[in-house]
Amino acid sequence: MEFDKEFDASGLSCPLPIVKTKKTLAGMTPGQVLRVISTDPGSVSDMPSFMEQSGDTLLEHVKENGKFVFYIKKA
Amino acid sequence: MNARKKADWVAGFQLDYKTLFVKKWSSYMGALLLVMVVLALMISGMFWGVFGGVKFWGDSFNNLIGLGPILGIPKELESWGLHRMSLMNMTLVLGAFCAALLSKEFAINLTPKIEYVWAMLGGSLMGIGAALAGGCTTGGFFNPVLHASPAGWTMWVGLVAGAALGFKLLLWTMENIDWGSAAPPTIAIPDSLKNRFPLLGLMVAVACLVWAVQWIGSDNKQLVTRAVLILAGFAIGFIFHRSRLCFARAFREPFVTGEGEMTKALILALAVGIPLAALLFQKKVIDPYVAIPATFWIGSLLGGLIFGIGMVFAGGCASGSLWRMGEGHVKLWVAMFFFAWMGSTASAMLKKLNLSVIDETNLEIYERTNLGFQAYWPDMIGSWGWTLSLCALLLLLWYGLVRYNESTEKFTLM
Repeated sequence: MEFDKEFDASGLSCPLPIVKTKKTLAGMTPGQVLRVISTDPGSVSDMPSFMEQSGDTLLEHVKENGKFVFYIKKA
Repeated sequence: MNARKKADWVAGFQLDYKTLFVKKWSSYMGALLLVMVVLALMISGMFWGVFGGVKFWGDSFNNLIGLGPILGIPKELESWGLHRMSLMNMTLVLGAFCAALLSKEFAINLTPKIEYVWAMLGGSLMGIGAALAGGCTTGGFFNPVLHASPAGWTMWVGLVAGAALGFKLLLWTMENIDWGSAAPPTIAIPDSLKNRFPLLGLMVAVACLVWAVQWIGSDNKQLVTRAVLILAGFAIGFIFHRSRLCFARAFREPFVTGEGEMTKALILALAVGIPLAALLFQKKVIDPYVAIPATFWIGSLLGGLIFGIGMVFAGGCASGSLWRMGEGHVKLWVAMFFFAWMGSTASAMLKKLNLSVIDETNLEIYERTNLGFQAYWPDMIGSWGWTLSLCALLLLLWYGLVRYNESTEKFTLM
């Protein structure tokens, strides 16, 4: 999947993956896609929860090389 | 036909396994199960606590490095397996470890270097805060609130303020400190090993069960009474991991994303637990004062504030740190070490400074120190009716603020 920006949250645990994702999204324009890589199992449910709260769209969520990868489209 | 029927029922068990041990449980489910275990402990004449065991670990370390005498820590301490809170903490980690294995979520997670610094700082603040409040989020907040003590609500005020302030500080560090932010090496676990995790998890569970059964059947009375703690701690750790319940998140998340699910789950736990606990006190099943620290209100408030800041930097509250240790997050192991060491040191210092020493001249039913006294609402205001109404009001207020914030994000700080 194509993306405009990538942020590697590997090694970070709660709350940092979400906090840094929120921060990164704030600096992007609507419609852009952010790719976030995480190793925290909590992010699997945290990310969709956060999307519900923020109104952004979780386009896809895959596992790559044992890590969780999220594609988020800024609302 | 027979072969297909067989495959169907096997798939049925596999589906249930996934639901129970792989998919995340709802926070509300976790909260209710937690309350059940906590109440079961209370009915057994005991109570759940985390800092007591953590401070004990710190005491052991201080004795090990020779600081014991200077700090006034007793020389002879129980063994880690016999100290009640220490035992529960250890089995909490095991319960979470087991759950993480069953769901294949366990991994040794290293973090960027700067996070270890925050673990040291956060853990230390948690230790100091817990020493002041006479307990952590469990023993200084959750238990006292459950035991109808205003000390719990006072620590609540401190925790809310601390979580907000801590988060603001964390944001500042994210803007201004670049050092040590690089992603760490990932310790890859080969699939062949990962596929064995559920079996390993089962072995951990069976081992703990056998351990508990051995102690229940023991001639040693000490072991018999402690057997329930093995199971309770394990259950709590398991529940926490499956539902990813975290008190730190409950306090912090409204300020971060505005999301209030964890907070509401905690409110639910208290809403159910408080009246049930009240029944136990009324029926004189246990003495509520056992779990109420003599810290109302200065110790609770100041302790809550400092603990709140610390838990944001550490990445977990007391129980949150324990279950994340079980999942393999190295940062929380570091945080726990400093939580323990500073918790022990700060507690000893407070004693030396006469701040937490029990006032022997106080003739009341409750204990008093310079940090506060053991406050129990039914004795203070003389009525259970008013006590429960007050608790209900406070829970409603908390719920109202959180729900309002979920929609408006008025209290979010970023």
